[in-house]
Amino acid sequence: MGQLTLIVVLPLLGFLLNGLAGDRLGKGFVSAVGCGLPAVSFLLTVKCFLDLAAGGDAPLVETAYTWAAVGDSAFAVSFWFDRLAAVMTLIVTGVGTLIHVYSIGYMHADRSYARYFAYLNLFLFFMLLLVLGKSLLVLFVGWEGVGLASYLLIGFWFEDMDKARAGKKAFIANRIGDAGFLLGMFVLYSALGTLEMDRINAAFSASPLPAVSASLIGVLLFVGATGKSAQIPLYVWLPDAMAGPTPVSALIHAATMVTAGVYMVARLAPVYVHAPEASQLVAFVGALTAIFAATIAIAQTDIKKVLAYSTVSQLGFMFVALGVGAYGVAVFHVYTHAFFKACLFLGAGSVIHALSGEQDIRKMGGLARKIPVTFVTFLVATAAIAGIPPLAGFFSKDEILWFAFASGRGGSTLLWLVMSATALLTAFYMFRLLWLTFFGRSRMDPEVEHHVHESPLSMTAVLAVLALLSAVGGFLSIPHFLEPQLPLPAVPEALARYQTPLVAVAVAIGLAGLAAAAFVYGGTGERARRLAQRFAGVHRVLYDKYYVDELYDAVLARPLLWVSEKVFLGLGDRKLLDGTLNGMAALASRGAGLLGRVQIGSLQFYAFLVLAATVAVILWSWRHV
Amino acid sequence: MSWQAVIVGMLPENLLLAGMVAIIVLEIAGGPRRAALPLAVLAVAAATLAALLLALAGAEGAPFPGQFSVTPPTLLAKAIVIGLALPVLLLSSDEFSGGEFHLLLLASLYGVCLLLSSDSFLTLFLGLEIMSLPVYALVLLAFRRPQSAEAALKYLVLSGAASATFLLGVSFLYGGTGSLGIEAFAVALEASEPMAVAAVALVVIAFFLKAAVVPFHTWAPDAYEGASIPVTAYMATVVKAGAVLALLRLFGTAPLSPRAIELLAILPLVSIVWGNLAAMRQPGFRRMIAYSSIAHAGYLFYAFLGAGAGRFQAVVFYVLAYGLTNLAAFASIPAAADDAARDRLDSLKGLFQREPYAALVLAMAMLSLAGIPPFPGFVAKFLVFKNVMAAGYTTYAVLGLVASYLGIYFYLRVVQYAFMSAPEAVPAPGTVGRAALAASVLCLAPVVLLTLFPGWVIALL
Repeated sequence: MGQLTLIVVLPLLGFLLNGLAGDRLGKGFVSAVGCGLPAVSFLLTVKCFLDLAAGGDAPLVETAYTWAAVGDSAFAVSFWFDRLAAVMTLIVTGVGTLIHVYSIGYMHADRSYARYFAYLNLFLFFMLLLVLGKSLLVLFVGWEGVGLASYLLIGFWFEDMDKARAGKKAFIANRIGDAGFLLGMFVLYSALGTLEMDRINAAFSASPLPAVSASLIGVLLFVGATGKSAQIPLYVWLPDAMAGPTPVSALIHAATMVTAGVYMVARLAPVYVHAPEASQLVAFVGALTAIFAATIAIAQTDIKKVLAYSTVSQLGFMFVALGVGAYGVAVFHVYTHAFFKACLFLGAGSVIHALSGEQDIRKMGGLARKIPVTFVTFLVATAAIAGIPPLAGFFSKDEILWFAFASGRGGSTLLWLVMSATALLTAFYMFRLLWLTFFGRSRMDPEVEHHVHESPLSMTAVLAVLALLSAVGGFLSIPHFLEPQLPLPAVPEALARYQTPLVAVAVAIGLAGLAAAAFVYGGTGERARRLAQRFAGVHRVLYDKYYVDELYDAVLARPLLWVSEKVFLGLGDRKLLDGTLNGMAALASRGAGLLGRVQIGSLQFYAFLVLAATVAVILWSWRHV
Repeated sequence: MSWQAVIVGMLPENLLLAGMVAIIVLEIAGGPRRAALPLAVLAVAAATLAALLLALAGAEGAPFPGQFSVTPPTLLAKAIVIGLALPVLLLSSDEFSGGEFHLLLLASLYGVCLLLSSDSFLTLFLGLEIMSLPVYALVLLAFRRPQSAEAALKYLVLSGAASATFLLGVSFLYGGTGSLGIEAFAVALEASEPMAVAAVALVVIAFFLKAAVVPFHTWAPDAYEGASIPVTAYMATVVKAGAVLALLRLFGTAPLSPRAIELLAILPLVSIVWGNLAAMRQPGFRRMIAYSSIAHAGYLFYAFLGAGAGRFQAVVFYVLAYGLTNLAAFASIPAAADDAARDRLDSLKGLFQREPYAALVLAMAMLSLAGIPPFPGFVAKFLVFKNVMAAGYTTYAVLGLVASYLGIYFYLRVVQYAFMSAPEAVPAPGTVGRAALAASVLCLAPVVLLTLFPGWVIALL
């Protein structure tokens, strides 16, 4: 078994071990297997990465086995490790391992400890399949698999009906996207006769181009991405997905799975290069989602919900980068976002852990002294996402803003304005979160306050590592590293001189957000209350998330339910299908009884039957003679 | 005829013969009665292995020119059919302790081997009779029950009818061509004079009788029910496979004439429908399997519609998949207080709670027999219908496919009993014995292989 296969299979092994025997073998075993195997995967990835560098950038390819050979097409499970896959695999296994370790402390008291780690390892397996798959089909299996793991983990505490429902919602929203993804795959396969992504990219990099609309493929695949990566109109599942355990939110719903759509578009960049309409749509939806989610995040009061909308918004940033052709920059933001958002979620987890499960930031405050490690790491990550230099988020976000402005493939001043406004909002709502949680005076219940404690080392150590990465990760220029594979779009000569002033503006925006939040939420918080009262209507709409869930319910869910109940169930299923089937079953049953009657047990009758049939067959054969 | 050719070319037969002699000596010498089973297992395993190795080594030869010859495909088919007898032997250990059962089984297997290698109708007839005669006695061996005597008699009489039909057909052929070689059959297939047409029809009917194709199937439900479980398993798998493979030898690989197509498509199609429908309401496991095997005989003859190498491939793969899963099902039937109780489908209720392993194997076998992917039964049906379509008989293929849906009902009923029904008031304390367990593992291992790597096995055929 080759290295790449091993990277993928090890977490699967962990899933099987923990899933089948974990409950019997105790927590020590579960933790060792659950964290150890992903760690080995990470080390193997590092080794593959070194091999890749040593081998002069020729991608490592490995065929695990041939799944099916139909006619001339063989569908093989192959893995493909180039620079892009290397970055993604390092993020997935690296951050994944850290979050597994964090979970030891976070989940230590849970009844279903083994099940939790089994699911988490299963997720990692599918995510690696998604990232390393050479064929779109393997990617799709991973794509569906992470959806399954996400569903299982959102509904991890399935006794709570709301949490089970949140899992269902995520699954359904993703299904809608997957339909588009599947159609895109069908179009690709019927046009090119292959789903191997290297061959697809080669076909779209050559001339003449394949006789198929790249934009059609691009749009269809992007529909899949809007589901998985929570973009308008399918983003609604992600905030609800916060029902799962917090480390799950960090790993699946912030750092890795939700970036799958970004990865897929970057992976198929040669297709999108030839799909200007699809790219415009990607940029448009990304920008709209970014600012839309950022405004919602301002008014949320659940610590995880704020972070969830922030994730939706940051994913919007990534899609804007993809839409203007800066694929490497999008992956750069995936990379920095993985660090600081994982750190924020795990920090939030640590807060929730300290407050015995409290998630409402209106009932927090003044925690900075009581849980100092959590506070410092959270502070670093907040500054990173707000784009304060020289932290990681500053670099990636600055590059996105620059290309939104200057890219020769769809950059515009309007796009830059929207994204800058979003960046301002981001800095504002993140510092608001920081203030309400850690500063000011305590608004906690006395009972809760009494129990506040810093989290165990397994959690704080992970927070420290992630905070460190959030601080310095930006110095590694991913776009530059990926440039041989994903070239950056050309910038018109005339715009180049704006680059330095725009960096200054970006820094100013981050600081302005900080200042505004400090002004509004600092002190007694009186200003925030007055502001909310002054704009009560706007506040209400934002707090209720623009009523999108209610809208979908009224416009889509209810009519669908009605049609399904009255037409499909009542008329189609009950009357037509059941009626026909019951009729046929009755017929078959009656026929069976009739046939059984031949079997009367009389030998004479049997012999007569044989004789008669023999004569009949011979006569029948003779009829043409 | 050289002695070397006789020894090497007939090695599987010789090993079976040695096993028989050893068992007879054991019986005469009054040795331990328990020793017969290991001896028989040894002989059958050795014969399987010999046939397989000879096939892989590409052995070819004619120990008795014009009467008996071997080629790698026939050796492979032989290995499969003999190999299917291994689980049967293991299944028998709970029911038969004496040497009679094993002796008769080996003798019958010897007949199957002759059948698969015969070059003339004389050898073919000899093989057919050597295969069948011991089976009458085997059915009768379960004489604890009155039905078994009746069942054996019915089987004997209708098999006699088959032999008579066969001989009549052969004599017509001889009259027409003056030859007893099996090539005469292929010639007659093309011919259109009444004598040849009737000869072909009679020979085919004889095999329909042996393989239980409607309306020549009437003996099967009674005989299967009357016999004990290992004997039923033997009849449903090895005997049926022997008959089908022998007819396949007669047909060769040439494309069929329209008349032959009608002969080989209509009655098997009726068989599929009839078997699947009638199985629905059977309360007993063996009777249900009897009807199921009637339906499967239909699919087996369907496979003849395809031409060329695909025909052999489809039939042999079907025999293998069908035989293995059928035997696995027999091996998972738990023992019960008495035979009648053991046979009742009701006694399978709640099997999963009592015997999870047996229930899982049983479910796998039923799903495979129903032709549900990814089990080998699906691949087997796929091959058959693929060949039928490739030969251009789309209508027959569609009809056969639709008819096969009927069967899903009663196969799933068994699964439902085993998994979803609560156990009946007082479940029998029976458990699956150790030998039966060995038999089921012996079936399961190749089934898993066929499930995971069907392409690899197909490439071998």
